[in-house]
Amino acid sequence: MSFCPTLVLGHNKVVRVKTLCIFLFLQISNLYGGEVVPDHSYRVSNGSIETTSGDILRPGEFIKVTRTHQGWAYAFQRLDRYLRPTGSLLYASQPWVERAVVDLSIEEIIRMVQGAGDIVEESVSPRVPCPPASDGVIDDTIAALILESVVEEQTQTGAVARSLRPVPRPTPTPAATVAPNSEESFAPLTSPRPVMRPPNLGASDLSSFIFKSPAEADSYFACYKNSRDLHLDYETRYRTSIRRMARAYGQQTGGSVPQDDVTTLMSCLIFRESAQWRGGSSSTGALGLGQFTETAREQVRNILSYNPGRTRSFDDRAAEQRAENTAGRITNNTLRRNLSLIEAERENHDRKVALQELWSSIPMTDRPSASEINSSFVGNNDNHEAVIAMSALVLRNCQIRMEQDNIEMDPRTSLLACAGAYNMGVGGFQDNAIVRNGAQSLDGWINNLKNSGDSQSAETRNHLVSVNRCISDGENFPPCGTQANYCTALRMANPCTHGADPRCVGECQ
Amino acid sequence: MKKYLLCFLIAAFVTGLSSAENRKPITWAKIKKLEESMEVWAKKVGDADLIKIGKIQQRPKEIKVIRAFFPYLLPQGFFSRQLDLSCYPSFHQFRTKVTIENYTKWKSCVKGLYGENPPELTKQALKSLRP
Repeated sequence: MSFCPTLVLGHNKVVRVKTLCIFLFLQISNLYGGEVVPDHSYRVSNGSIETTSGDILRPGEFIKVTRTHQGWAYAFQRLDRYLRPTGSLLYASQPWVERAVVDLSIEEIIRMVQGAGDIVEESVSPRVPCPPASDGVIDDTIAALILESVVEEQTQTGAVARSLRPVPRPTPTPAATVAPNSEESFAPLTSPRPVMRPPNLGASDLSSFIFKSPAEADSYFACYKNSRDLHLDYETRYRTSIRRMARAYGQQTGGSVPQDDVTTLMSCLIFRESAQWRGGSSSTGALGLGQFTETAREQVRNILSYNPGRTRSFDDRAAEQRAENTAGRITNNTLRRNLSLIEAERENHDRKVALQELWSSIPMTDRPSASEINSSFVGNNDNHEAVIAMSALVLRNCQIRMEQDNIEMDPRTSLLACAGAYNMGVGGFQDNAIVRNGAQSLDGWINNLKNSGDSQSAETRNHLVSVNRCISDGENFPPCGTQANYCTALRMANPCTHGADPRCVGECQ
Repeated sequence: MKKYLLCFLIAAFVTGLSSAENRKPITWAKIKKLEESMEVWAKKVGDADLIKIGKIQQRPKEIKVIRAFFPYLLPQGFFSRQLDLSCYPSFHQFRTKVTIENYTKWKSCVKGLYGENPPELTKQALKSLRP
């Protein structure tokens, strides 16, 4: 069986003409509908776009819209001529958003659709050769995966040539423009800081999130608490453990991850995981404040029981392999494989050593050994110091992995991403949420998760939205699936009337 | 009504066959052959194009195979290379010496990365290669 056709998306001319007609219809209806579809690519055809970073996108440039907000798309990424994303996310500047309307004439649409056909073909067919004809080894299981991939490919490329016709944003709602200290503000009453934010921009729209201070997070927990007793446990016991852990965490990163951000993120993460400080067990077998599954407990045990002692350095081993290759005793492929093995071992080693150091630096009255970390231990809320430290290990493990994979994120964004990975596993989150386009915003992750088809996607989306609402300075939307019964210290916003975005799965429908 | 029932049964039969086909076990012999062909494929594509492929939305199926079993073929700069490499030492060790202990180490590494939901090929391999 040949798999080559699955790698090439060439359309013959007949199909192109038909497709062109369909595209034309879509473009015209799209033009008048004023819709800009997130995750689709557009060409700036008429006028230019000013961005917050001072860049100007001129006619002829391609962009990929990453999200829409109230009908207006303003976050996007520049694309090269092969429609591959280049550079980081860009945001349309507020003054431009307020005044700009970019229109396309029908003639331009025709030209664009015709021109885009070639670009689409080129962009998805990067001259991948067929495997050797003798490879009957790729069985139908893998073939099924290939076909699935190509169906996705064809679906998505159909959306490349479309028109960009932004419509002006709606006038800001009064709630978003009131003074921070007025009655209408959503700032926590206990907050020492104003909650100024660019109008109409949610925290998730920014490349760096605006975190609550730990004191503001406390007000949030008070509002959305499960019961007074459980909240009291947080105030009298867990809070101190979280802050001690955060100090050690911040110190290990040399301050690049601020202690207060770790405090807020970890408090919000445990608040979410433990169902507002309850702990207990879930249907999946997750236990305690950190909701540790057997897999997660094993992960922590592996880190803590890792023996870093090694007689020969990684560099010596690598040099030895190179010498073997030079002497002709191993092939180039074997050399490549062996060097990769050494590299992987080195990275695993470095990561585990850093995590062991973090573990040792977190103050604990009673520090458990790896073998003591079992289900009854993590299920007991009295072990909150160690359980919170274990959660910190999982979070830091994810951050280090993302650094090792050169995923460029500012520390706050990376903390939130790792809160998502806490729910899904770092590999799953990287594959399903960050995926190939390297999404670096909450909306990008949510979108990718929606499209991933992963069975855990909905749960992780709600998890991310909940943690984001908790950490974000501002409106204090409720965690997914909860209601506030005890709020005294904080004005809360209703996600259905105040346009919370992103929303929990099924919220406000 | 009978027609619909018949159609349903035929569809169910065909789907069943198809999924049975898709669930063909992965064997060490297949992995060996795959490795040879993937090495040839990766060499033909070249590192620069592999990095480009890593950045596009849809990747050829060979990338799924390489990510699962032969991540050393991925060049530096390939998205997720380090992630894919992290369980490779335990997989390689298991492949070199097929024991339950080595299998458990590999499985534990995969679960540490993906929880209960690893990529399809890895999931299949975990099932098929269990000693």
